[in-house]
Amino acid sequence: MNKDSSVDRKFSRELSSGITSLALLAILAQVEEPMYGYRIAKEMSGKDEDFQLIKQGALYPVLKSLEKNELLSSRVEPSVSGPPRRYYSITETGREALERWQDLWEGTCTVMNRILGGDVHE
Amino acid sequence: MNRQIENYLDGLKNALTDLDRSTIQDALADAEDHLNTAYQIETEEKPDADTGELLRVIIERYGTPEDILEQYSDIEEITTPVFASSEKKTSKGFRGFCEVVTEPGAWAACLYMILSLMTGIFYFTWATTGLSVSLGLLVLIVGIPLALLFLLSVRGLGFVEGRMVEALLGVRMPRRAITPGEGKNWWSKFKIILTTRSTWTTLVYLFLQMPLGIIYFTLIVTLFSLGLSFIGAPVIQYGLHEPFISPEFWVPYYVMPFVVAAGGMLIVLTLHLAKGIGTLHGRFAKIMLVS
Repeated sequence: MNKDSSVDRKFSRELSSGITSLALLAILAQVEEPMYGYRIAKEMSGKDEDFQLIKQGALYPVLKSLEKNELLSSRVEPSVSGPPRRYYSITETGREALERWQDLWEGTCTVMNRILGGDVHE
Repeated sequence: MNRQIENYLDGLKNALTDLDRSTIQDALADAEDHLNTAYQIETEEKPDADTGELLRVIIERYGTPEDILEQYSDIEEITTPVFASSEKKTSKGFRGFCEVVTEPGAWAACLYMILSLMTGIFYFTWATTGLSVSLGLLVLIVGIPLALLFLLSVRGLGFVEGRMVEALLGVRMPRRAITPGEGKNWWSKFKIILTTRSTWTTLVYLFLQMPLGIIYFTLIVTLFSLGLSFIGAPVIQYGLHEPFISPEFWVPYYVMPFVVAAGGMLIVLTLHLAKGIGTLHGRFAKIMLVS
């Protein structure tokens, strides 16, 4: 991690800022019950423990801003052991946004795959 | 709390120093909650794993303090408080000066000044009672848990007051209450509370809030009633046929417009004063209530 140059960091931060919101909405739309921060984080890493899409610490500010925009709602519940947990669930507005964002994402992927695949007309 | 987590949080605190104090407190609370939850869940799932290694992975996945700094400085721009004073002034000169009347923030500051009398009295009573009861009983064993409970309530009140200051004075304050050292025994919690600067400054704040509240309340009520009575002078004199100032003094009709205008100006000035006091009080509250 130490040899990460600042350009790499900047790029990966810019790349992940939008993806995080999309991923959060998608995860919360698929599960039935509300989830707390660490479970969402684990869901994001999935089985592949080596590749990390975003740093887990980046989730919380994004969760808060999504909630502020009413795409998510949350409530705090005490846990059996340890600190109380804030549970997040997706709102109806959030589901609508997710649909639009998925279209955007697919469009982006198609274009990017074409460009990165070397299919650029001279 | 685990030593490794504590070290990480210390590093994080140092990395965040340039951010708003309340953002720092929120970021630290997020990190502490996350790391403790992660640690607790991971140790349950893998009871025979090496805890040092486990925590190293958890912390690495959470991100370096620099990563967190970037994330939270991004978010700071989005979440400004409701009544945060906007810098844009639409018109200059006298008109711009009077436009304070249309600023919700100025009216909110007035509301805060009026409410501060009630909250001030409550804080003062609570702090005096709590302090004397727990100090008095400190010679007995019951005094210690009582003092702990009292100091906890002081922190709670400080948090609530902070929320009020943010809502009405537009100064960003912490959005999450900090619970001292999750998962520790009560003695080390007590020590954390005792050694946190903000516990004591909050206590001082609670005491000071009463004299301040009395001053604020008196200022606002006096100036507003004076201004409103000037504006209402024609109604009093010609509508109710009562002398405006004293039984002997009737305002000549040609002076009347000036009296009304002076009343209006007084209201405008009062709103400016309230805004100014609100800003100062917000700064004061931030120094006293946020660690």
